[in-house]
Amino acid sequence: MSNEQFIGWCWQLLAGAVVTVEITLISLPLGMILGMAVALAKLSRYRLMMSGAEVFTTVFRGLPELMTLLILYYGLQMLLQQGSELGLVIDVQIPPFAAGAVALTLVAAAYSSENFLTALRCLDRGQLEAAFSFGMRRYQVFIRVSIPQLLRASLPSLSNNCMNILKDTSLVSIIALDDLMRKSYLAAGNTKEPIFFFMLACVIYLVLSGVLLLLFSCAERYFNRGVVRHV
Amino acid sequence: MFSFLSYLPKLLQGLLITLELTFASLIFGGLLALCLVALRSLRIGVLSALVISFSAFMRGTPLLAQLFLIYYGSAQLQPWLKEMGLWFAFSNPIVCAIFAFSLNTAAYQAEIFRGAINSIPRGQIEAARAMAMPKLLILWRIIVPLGGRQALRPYSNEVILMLKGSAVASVVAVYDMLGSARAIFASTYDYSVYVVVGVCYVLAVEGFRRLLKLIERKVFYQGA
Repeated sequence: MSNEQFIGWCWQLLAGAVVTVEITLISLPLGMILGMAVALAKLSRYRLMMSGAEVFTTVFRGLPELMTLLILYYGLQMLLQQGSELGLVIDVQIPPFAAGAVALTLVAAAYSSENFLTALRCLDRGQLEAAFSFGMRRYQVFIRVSIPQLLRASLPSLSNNCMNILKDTSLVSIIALDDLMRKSYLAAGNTKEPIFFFMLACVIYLVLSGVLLLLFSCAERYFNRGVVRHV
Repeated sequence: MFSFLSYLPKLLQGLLITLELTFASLIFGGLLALCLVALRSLRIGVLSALVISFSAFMRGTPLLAQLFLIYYGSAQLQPWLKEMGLWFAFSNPIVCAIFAFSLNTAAYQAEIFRGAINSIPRGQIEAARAMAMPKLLILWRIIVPLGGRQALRPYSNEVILMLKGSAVASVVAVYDMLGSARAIFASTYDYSVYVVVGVCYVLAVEGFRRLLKLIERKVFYQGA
C-alpha cells in the first residue's frame, strides 16, 4: 500500500464525514419540528390525533433504528416497483440518502416528541393566560411564550437524543450510502488496515459529537439568559 | 401465509440469539461498569482519567463503528490472537458482538451507577456512619436501595437501547432476529418478514417498558 493511496483514503473518510454531517443537519431540525407537532397532537382534544401520535412514538421508539431504515428503504422500493408494474411510475430508484434522512427524521421525531411533551406539561398556565389576556393570538403565544420556555426545559434531554441520532447516521452505510462509516469500511477492506481506519472514523465521530455537545451548551446558555436563579 | 410458517423456526432462532446478545452484554457490561465505578471512586488521577476517556469514547462513537473495530480489527491481529489462544473466540461473530456491546453498555451503565450514587443525600450516609454501621452494611442498606430507585428508570432505558442496539449485530453475519429477517428477505423478497419482525421488536420494547413502569410504581410507593 503506497503512501499516496493511504492519504487518499483518509480524504475519502473526510468526504464521508461531510455526508454524515449533511444527513444529521437535515434529519435533526426536521425531526424536531415533526416531534413538536407529534407532542402537540398528543395533547390534542381529538381522540384520533391523540392515539395516532401515541402509535407513532410507540412504533418508532420500539423499532431498532436499523430496522426502521431497512423497512423504509425496501418498502418504498417495493411500492414503487408495484407502481411501475401498473404503469404509474417509470423505474424510479429510491436514493439511499432520502431513505436514510426520512428514517432518521422519524426516529428523531419520536424521541424529541417525548422531550417536548414533558416540557409542555411543565408550562406555567398563568403565563399563557396572561399572554391571551393581552390580546395575543394563539400562534403569537406559541412562538413568543411557549417555544422559548419549551426549548429551555427540553434542551438537556434533547441533546442526548440528538447525540443518538448523530451516531445512528452510521447505519445508513448499510444501505450503501457513502457516509463516514461506509467510507471507513471500504478503506479498511482495500488497505487491509481495519484498526487504523475504524479508529480514524471513531475519532472523527468523537469530534462531531463534541461539536454537537458544544452547540447544545451554547443553546442552553442562550435560552437560559433570562432566568434568575433563586438561591 | 403458508410460506410464513416455513420461516418461523428461523425467526424463533433469531429471537433466541437476540435475547442472548442483549442479556449477555447487559450482564458482562454491568460487571465491567461496577469495576469502572469502583476504579473511579479510588480517586487516583491516572485511573480516573482512563475511565473517563473510555466512557467518552464509547458514548461518543456509534455502536456500529465499535463493532466493526472489534470484528475486523481482530482479523488484523489474527496472528497475535492465535498465539494468545484467543482466536477461537474472536473468529466467532457472536462473541465479537457480545464483546463490543458489553464494552458499550458498560460505559453507559457506569454513568448510570455513578449518577445514582451521587444522588444519595450525604446526610444519609453520615447518619449511618454515626450509628457505627459497617461499610458493607451501609452499602447494602443505604446505597443500594436509595441508589437503586434513582437508577431504575435510566437503567430500563439502557436495557431497551441494548435490545434495539443488538440488531446492529446482523451486519456482521450474526443471525439474530433482524439478521434472519434479512436473510429470508434476500432469498424470497417477501416483505412481510420485516413487518412481522418489526412487530416483535415493538411488542418486546413496549412490553418491557410497561413492566418497568409497574415495578417503578411498586418500588416508589412501597416506602412512601
